[in-house]
Amino acid sequence: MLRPYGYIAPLLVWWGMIIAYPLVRAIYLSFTNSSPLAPTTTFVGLSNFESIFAGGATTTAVEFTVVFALCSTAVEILAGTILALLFSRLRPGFGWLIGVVMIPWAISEIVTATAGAWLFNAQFGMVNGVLHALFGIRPVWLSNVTLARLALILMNSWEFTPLAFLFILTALTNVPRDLVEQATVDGAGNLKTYQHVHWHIVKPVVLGIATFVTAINIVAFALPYEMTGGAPGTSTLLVAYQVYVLAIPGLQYAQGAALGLVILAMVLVVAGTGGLLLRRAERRLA
Amino acid sequence: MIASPTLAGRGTSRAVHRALFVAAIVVGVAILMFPVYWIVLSAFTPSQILFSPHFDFLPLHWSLANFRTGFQVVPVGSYFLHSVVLGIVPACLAILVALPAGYAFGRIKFFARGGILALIVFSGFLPIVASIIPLFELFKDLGIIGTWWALFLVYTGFLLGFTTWILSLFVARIPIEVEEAARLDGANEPALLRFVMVPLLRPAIASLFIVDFLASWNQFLLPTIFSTSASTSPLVLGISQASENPQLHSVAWGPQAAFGLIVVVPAIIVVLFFQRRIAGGLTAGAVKG
Repeated sequence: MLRPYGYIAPLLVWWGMIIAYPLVRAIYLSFTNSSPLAPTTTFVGLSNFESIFAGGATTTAVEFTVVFALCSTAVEILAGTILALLFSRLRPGFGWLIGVVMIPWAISEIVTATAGAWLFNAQFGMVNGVLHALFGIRPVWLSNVTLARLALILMNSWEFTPLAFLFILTALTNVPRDLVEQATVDGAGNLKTYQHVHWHIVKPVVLGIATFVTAINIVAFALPYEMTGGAPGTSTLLVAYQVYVLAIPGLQYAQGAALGLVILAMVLVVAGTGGLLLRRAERRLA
Repeated sequence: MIASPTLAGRGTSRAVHRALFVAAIVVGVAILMFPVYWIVLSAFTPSQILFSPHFDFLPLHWSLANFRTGFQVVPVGSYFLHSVVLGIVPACLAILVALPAGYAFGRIKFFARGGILALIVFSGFLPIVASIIPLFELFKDLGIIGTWWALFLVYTGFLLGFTTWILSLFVARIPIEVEEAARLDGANEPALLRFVMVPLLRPAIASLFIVDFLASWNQFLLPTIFSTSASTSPLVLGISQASENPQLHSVAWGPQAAFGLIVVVPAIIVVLFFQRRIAGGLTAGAVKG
């Protein structure tokens, strides 16, 4: 049967050239000393992985990337759920408000990062403008390790909360009406209905979107690139940005490729864990 | 209902509920709009006021000075055009390539169908940054660095997984009877695709076009690496070019905000207008058909 393969051939060729080949090539590069600075490319075993973790900056970046991704996901799911619960009770005619909530998602990450850098500026930023007016304080957000990390997480959560919101809202509106009515007839209050009817149906979607946004959070690039540059010190380096720093300005192709594989492994762990949880939740549902 | 006082009490509590509900929505939307307000405010406030310690963050000093400063450094017209081209062409290419593939994955049973689709979809979530060095070398070997071809190839490549996946879901939802009827009428498969499936898939195609357009319009890493000259630069690259880097604490946020606003406004218009279509395309995977 040639038929299906003719249909998917253009896709496979394009995907093979732009996605699959570069990844395989990156795996190869990570075991060589490839760099525009090296005259010849030779096989060097695991030494790239040793050298990227030798300085300590990469270890910090990996650790902070995990914290950054998980905290962002927690905020995104929590805020997304609260907003979705509110919006699921919106009267007809106010559907356009969903579009308003989607706006942060539609804003380019580079605009988010640039705006974030100035929003959290200690002297002129509006965050401190509000904090000073309310509490008389002006924290130095981007020069303090903890605060800089917090600011980064807040900006990232702001950008992707709409995505969590949209998926959870869709799931909530798809809860069968007769199930809800049945629960009400059976004497279940609002809270009980949400707990036993809605949550049951929404849970797989929450798990799915949580996995999805965690994977997105792990590869965040523009925020450290434009908002903090990894500062103070190397405390806000995220792995995707560190790959860029190593490979593009640093010209360490092989080390960049090796660190790229580290991100790949992190995304695989997230996808695997999410998939496992999702399968378990769906089995319980069936 | 036995006593009417309960009814009256219920009425008031319902009004209180409603007020709390509206207040919660207003607070939620206000928090989400806070950074947007900041961008708009900064874009239209002259730098000397933006950087005065007495600035009270109110929109009282409207001026176009930041736009003028930005436009002196960056050719905004051609950058805008480049953004439009990079928004539209890869979206069209991705849909053209994904349509037959989506049909095959959604309808035809063949060896390793699920595995191939899963691999393609999953690879779409992998970090782009891990592939940029091999891609750069590949394009150098092909001699297309700095050309539109390089940009179209990578932009489209990173849209393919998602676009194919969502199309296959929509194809699978079209009743098989429609297809059988067309076959009975003597339609061969290419004709079936072109004259039966494509019209039925029009809503899905529209959703995907909008989502793909936004993804490309906002794409930052790819043009940073592969748009090597001003002759292909999209608007996103103009933001930092419009002024100095914020780490230098130079007084340059105004023009950056002005330029950022030019990137953001078309995207916001698209989202507000096509909110339903975007939601339909994005969440197709989460809705069991």
